[in-house]
Amino acid sequence: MFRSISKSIMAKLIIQFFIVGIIPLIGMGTLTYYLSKDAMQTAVFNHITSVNSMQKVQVLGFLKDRIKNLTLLSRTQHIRAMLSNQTYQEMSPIFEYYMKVFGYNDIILLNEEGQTLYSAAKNIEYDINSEVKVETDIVTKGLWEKIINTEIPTMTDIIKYQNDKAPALFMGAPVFADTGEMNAVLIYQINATRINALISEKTGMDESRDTYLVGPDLYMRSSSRFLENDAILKQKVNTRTATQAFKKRFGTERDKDYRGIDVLSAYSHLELPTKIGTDFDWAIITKVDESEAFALLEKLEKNIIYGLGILIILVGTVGFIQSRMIAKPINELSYRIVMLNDGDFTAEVPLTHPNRSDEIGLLLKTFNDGSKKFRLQMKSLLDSTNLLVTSITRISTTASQLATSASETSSSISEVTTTAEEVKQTSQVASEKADYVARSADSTTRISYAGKQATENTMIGIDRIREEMNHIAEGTVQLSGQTKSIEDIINTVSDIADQSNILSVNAAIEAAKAGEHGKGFAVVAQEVKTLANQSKEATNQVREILGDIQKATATAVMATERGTKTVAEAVELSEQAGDAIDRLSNRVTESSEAAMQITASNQQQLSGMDQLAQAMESINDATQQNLEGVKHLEDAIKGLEEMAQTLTSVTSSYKI
Amino acid sequence: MNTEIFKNDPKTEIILNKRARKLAKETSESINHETTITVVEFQIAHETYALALDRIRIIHPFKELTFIPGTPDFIRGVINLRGEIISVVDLKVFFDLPDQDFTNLSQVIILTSEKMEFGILADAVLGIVEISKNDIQPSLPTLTGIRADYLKGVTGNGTVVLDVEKLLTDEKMCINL
Repeated sequence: MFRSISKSIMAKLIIQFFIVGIIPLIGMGTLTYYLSKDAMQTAVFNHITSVNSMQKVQVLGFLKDRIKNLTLLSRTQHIRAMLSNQTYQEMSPIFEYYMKVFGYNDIILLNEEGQTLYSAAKNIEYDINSEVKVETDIVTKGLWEKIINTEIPTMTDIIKYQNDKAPALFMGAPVFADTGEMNAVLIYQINATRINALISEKTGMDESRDTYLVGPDLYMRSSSRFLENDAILKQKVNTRTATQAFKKRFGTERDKDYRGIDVLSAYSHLELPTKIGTDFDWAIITKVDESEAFALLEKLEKNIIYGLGILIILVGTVGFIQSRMIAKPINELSYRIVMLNDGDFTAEVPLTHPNRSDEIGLLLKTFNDGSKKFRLQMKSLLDSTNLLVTSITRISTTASQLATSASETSSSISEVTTTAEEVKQTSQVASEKADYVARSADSTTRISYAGKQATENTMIGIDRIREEMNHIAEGTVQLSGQTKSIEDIINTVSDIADQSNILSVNAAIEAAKAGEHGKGFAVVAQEVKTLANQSKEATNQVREILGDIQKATATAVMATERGTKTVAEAVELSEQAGDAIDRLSNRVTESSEAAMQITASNQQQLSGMDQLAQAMESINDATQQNLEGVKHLEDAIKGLEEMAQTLTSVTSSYKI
Repeated sequence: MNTEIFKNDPKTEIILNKRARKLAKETSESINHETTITVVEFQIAHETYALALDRIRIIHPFKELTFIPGTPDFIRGVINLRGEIISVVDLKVFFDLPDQDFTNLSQVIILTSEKMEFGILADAVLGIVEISKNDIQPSLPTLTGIRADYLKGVTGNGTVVLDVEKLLTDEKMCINL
């Protein structure tokens, strides 16, 4: 809930509520506290100041009263008589009465020399009982000297007197004779506790209130209620209040007292020098413990704190509820608006209080209605965006296809143009070639005619050759037959040679049989044998030659056969050649005609090609323009695509 | 061959030379008179054989042979020699040599004695040759079998000289029908 104080309106509201509610409360509380404290302090000071002045008046009244009393007593006839008659004893009951009634410790009478004449407490007549040692002490001596000099009744500070345990003060008044001379001094010894009793009287409800007297030596001149022992001349009040009291006539002070406790004090001078004529003064200090004085304040403080606590809780609760009432819908609304911002248009604030009719309720309702409307609009927008995106994509693809086809077309056109140019050139070349062909066809016709003639001549020649070949073949066959008969003859000759050989052998045998007579015959036989052998050899040679001739004739026969065959083939070939030349001649004629036609058509083609080239150029220009247009289109579509992408990226984050 | 053994001795060489000259003179004389024989050389189974002329009556061409049944294998048949019936012996069969067909060169050599007369079939007659008797050497050990009995020797040319007398007097040739 408290994500961060700076981010949460609720926290802010609550804090503001607290600040608005609590700061004045605390301020008021503290103001009240301090104001009441001040007022209380003033009141307490006033109170104690009045108490102080009252006490002062009392003390002064008491002292003045006693002084008056003394003066009265000193002016009575009794005293004069007593002094003149020296009948001290007779006065004793009066003195005792006085002592009893006013609570004096002693009543002392001193003569003009300052010698003690009588002490009521001790009931001693120092003149009469001269053995009793005259006690002259400094205090009474001092008082006497003062009175002698001034002839005005006065008093001493509280001092510790001789053997007496309790401290006391002395008052003295001159005793005048009837003549008007001062002849003695009457002195009262008043116990200090008397004054103490006067001021330590408990009045009112201030339990801790106390009043005491302080001498110039800052020692107490009266006892305190809070000190068990007698504090007179024993307890020193070394506080700021005491010192202040001797500097100013009166005033108030907040200080620690001699006990070290925080107190509120009021002080004033007794103004003894002016009122009574002493050469010293006392300060009277009234104090109240702060704890008592501010007891009410503490209570007030407590009440204020409790009240503050309750108020804080109250303010907090109210603030929380109030801020919740304000902040929660605003939170929801802000969350929904953040959702909206993030593209989630399903945002709808749940109406916890549908009947809420204040501005916030109205705001929420309006927001819901608006969100609904916005959602519907957004939906249609999204749909149309999607449609737009798909259309753009299609357009883009189409455009790219268009671009590619355009470029292809352009390249095709350039190809076509070049091709047309080539065709043009080719047709020119073809035209030239066709001319050439026509011309060459003419010459070829002539040549083919000559070729035909030549083949016919060749055929006639070949026929002759065939006849010759036939003659050769016949001749060779005859030769072969003749060689056969020659072989037969040779065989016969060989047989004859063999037989001759045998005959020669037989003749040799016969010659051998005839012995010596047959020897010549043997030689003949030998000769015959040699002849036979020679003829045999000759026949053999003839046979070999004949074999060679036979082989040659056989090869000749074969050759003639092959020759005839070749001749036949040649005849056939020449016939084919004749035919071919015939056909060639025809074809040449045809091709000559065709070449003529080609030339004519080529001329037409050339003019057509020129037209085509022109058309192609204009088409090329158009396609170039087309291409540029397509490029512009592509750029535009690119922009569109980018836009579509941005749109899709924007809309894709939406949630409806 | 023996000269080689004594080749190194000069004395022996001189002696041998003298002897050789002496022998050379003698042989030239003997060939002309006594030491030569005249033979008919013929071929049987590619081998050259020779027969002395003494007992040869005539050489007749081998034709018109008539086969006589019941005769031994080596008798080929009979021929008519001017009215005379003469039996023809085939030495190839007789000598267990490989048989060979007749050719127009085949001849029949007619051997004759007082008791016997028959022809020998020759594959070819080479001619009349004079052979020195000294030149005829004992037969080769390779010529074995029945042939060996009818041999006179072998010349330096490898011509086998047959003993005509033995062939004519051989009892095997006598056939009693």
